[in-house]
Amino acid sequence: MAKSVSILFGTQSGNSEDLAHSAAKIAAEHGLDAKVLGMDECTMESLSNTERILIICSTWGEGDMPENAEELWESASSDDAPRMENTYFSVLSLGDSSYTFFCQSGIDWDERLEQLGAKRIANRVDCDLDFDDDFKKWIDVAMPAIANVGGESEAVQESDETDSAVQEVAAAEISTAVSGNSEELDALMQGERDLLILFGSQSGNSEGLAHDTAKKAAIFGLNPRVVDMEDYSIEELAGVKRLLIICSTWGEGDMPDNAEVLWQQAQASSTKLSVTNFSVLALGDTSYEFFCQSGIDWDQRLEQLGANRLSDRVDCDVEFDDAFTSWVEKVLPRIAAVNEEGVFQEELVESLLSLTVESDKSTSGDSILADLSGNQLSANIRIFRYNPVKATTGWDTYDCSMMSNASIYSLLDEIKSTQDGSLSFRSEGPLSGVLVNGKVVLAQDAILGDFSGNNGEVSITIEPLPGFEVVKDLIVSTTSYDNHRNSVAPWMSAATRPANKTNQGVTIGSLTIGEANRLHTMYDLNSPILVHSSSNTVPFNSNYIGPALVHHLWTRINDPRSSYSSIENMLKVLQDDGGSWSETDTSSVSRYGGDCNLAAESIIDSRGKLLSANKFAGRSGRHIKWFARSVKWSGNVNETTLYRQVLGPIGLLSNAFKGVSARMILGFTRTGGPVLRGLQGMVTAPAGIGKMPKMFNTRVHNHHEVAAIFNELDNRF
Amino acid sequence: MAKKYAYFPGNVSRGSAAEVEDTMIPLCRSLGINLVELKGATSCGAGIIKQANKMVQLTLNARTFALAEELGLDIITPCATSKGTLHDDLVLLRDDAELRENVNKTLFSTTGLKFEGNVEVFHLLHILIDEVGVEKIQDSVVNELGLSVAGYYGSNMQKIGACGNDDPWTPAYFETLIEALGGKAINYDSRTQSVGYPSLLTQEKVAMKMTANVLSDAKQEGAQLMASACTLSHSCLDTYQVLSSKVSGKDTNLPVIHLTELVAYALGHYVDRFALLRTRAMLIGA
Repeated sequence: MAKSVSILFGTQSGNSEDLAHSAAKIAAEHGLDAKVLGMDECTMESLSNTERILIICSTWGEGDMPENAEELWESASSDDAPRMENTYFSVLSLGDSSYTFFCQSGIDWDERLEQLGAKRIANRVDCDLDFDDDFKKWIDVAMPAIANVGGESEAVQESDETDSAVQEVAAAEISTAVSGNSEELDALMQGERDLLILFGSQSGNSEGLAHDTAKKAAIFGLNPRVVDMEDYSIEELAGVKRLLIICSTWGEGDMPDNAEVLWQQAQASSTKLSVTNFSVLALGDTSYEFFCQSGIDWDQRLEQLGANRLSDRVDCDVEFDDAFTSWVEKVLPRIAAVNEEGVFQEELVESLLSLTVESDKSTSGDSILADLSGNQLSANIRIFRYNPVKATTGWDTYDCSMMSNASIYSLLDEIKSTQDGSLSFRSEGPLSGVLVNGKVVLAQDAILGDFSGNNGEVSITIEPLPGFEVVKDLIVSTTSYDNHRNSVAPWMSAATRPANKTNQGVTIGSLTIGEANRLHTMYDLNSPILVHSSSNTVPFNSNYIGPALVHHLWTRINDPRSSYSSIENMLKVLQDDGGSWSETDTSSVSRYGGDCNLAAESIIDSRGKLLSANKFAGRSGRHIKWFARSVKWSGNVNETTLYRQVLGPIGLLSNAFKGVSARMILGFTRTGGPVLRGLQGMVTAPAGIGKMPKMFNTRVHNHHEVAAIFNELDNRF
Repeated sequence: MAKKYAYFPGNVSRGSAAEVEDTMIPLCRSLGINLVELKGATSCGAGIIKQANKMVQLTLNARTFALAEELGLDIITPCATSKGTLHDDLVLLRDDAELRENVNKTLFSTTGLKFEGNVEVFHLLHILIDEVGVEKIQDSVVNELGLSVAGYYGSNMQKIGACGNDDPWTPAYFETLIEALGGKAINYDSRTQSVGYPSLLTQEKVAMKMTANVLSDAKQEGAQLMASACTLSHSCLDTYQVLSSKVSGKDTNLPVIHLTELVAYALGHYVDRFALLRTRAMLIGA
């Protein structure tokens, strides 16, 4: 039996992975059985039992590990990492010498493995952007050396074997659970259960998702097989009953390299795929014009060849976790309900889901199963209704039984199809927002179980998004938002800037990767409508453009491509009525986290800019200046000072006529407390009119420290 | 055994809302919560200072955290805004090592203190439910509330990680507490919504509409009394009640007290104030 070597790659752009495959070919020439593994496909426990390891790892950002290596590194660098006395290793490190922490990840691995007792059989080689020569230099030494290392080890394979074992156990359990169910289900589960998962991948993401899908598929009694598109031909597809395609898009809507040949074949082929049931997960990047084009192409071509689309294609952006989960949860029970003849038995989908629950009960600690199948919930649903013809509003209540992992959209769909066909709501996309138990959510993303207690029951209220006019039931009109958007014009008005040129002479932009990533994150709100609705202010101020648009403008202002004049215009919009200052409380926005928190931060940051630009002018400027100033003076806010400075004498006087002063004086708040405290505020300088039990704030202990902090950081107060 | 906390009153309870401190101290004594004065703590900034300068607010709060660390105690506050603001800054400082280092640099050079990250911030409401426990509270009640009470949480501390084990959007802690004190808890939709206090002086009309929405919502659901977990929002809900009604045209007439008053009265403190409150609640409440 041949000796084995594990070649681990940590990669961000795919270079390390390519080199790992090259190294594997060279390993074969040395009589080694090479196994190429992404660092996210193995554990420290399995590595500690592996005799021969070659590591090829790139460095990212400021000396950081690439994403697929982070988890393993965390485990390796922990105090309880396993010892590796029986391991021989060498490291090839990839980096960019223009960065301070050149090849830091490789250096870290090299040092850490040695600390854990592993034996270095060849010195680490650090490669710059042109790595071909350095790779050759390294592999020429490292490979013969590692081939000479003694005995045999299969430990890394254990990880895969463990996965296989998990899949087999899960499949066996569900098969057992089938006993006692309907004849149709018995027949389905006892027939051929193969599932083909093809991946087209450039950076490794699609491949990773393909393996994740395979693990989850086993729970439905399927026998998944993950295959690189490069290793497959279109003729083999004929007769395949269950097919999932996970494919990324590269460059200008191109197929990834490993999918190119199969795609050419698919275009030229007339193979009939009439028994094939399929679904496509497309990976892409919305900052490119041809977003997810490869997935779109596969989706259309398979349909043209006669295959049956079992579940709609899902297009993923760079942050693909949620979209992947949503796709896999929808598609797996459906593809599992395809029989060996290739016929989709829709009526068995629910039964399959139930079976996975039963299987879950007998499988301790299998979180995948729990995530995927959920629990049965008894749901009491109260839904807001509006009939535009009769102009009537009201509430309808429905009872139904749903899985806890069902989306709110599925719930609404279930009610519409089984109980009330007149119910109206938006199906999916960024406009599918609703208010569920006081929380704004996208109906397609929100999970019923998130609103339930522990007793298997859930009681929820579903309303239209706040801050919008209701068209019918849960459907709102976004016209007000669109009008605001048109009026503030957050479009790109680009400045003339120096550009770079490619080797072919094509002019391209000159944003740094870090800057481009930052802007991408800021521009890419999942649902601006949802962010808009998260603000408690929006429903009460029709002039307010809302947090999503403030965020959009602030992002444009911070975009180095924006022209100076457009930045000036946008700052003016933010300063004016309806702009940044109109948000009364950013906490109502930020508490949602994610995109909403980004928007809340934009509001705060834009205010900082406006305060500096306008020298704390206006009521808002005075409010912040005097708040900070009074804290500097005593350590605490002096409310009297604040009222006097912000409202001015006329504003204070007007409080007397608005009933505010009366309540202050009468001491309503103190419900029977000494009224005299309120009266003090009326007569004792410098209180003026207003409730002020304490005329002056006593300075806090060690107040000089507070003043020193202000003096050190900001002298404006 | 008494639970010990570093007491952060929030500067409003030492200013215009003295009734909060009046009641906080006796109620804690009754329930075995030992308050240790956090001497030298400043205003949390209420999210206002950070609009002008984030580093100033962070450093002020890092100083407060460091003071509590010196005492070896976690912080307790009766103010939801303080809780929310301190929580956000604590998380930020803990999660971002580079930021923490920068803040500590200034903090050390100006005060000789250093923030280590070994402190937690709690709101009184969460301590009452999670630490003291409903049973002990029930056992300590002297005067049952006997009123329909709407608890107001506000939006500041209603976020994941800041409200104990409670649900941020459909919370139940306040309602559980009210029931334990012998009151009837009123469930109303807007109990976690903002009343716009941070912009009370600058966006008065909008803040008044938001305030009226919360008050009228509670009133429509049958509340005779509202208790607020937020000292700042309390000002909008109570002092500006008449104005909010004028601006919105809604019925906002409802007695409003702070959470600390509610608990203290039920535990037998300030019986005269409680008597007056009950009369008001019965006359002008729902």
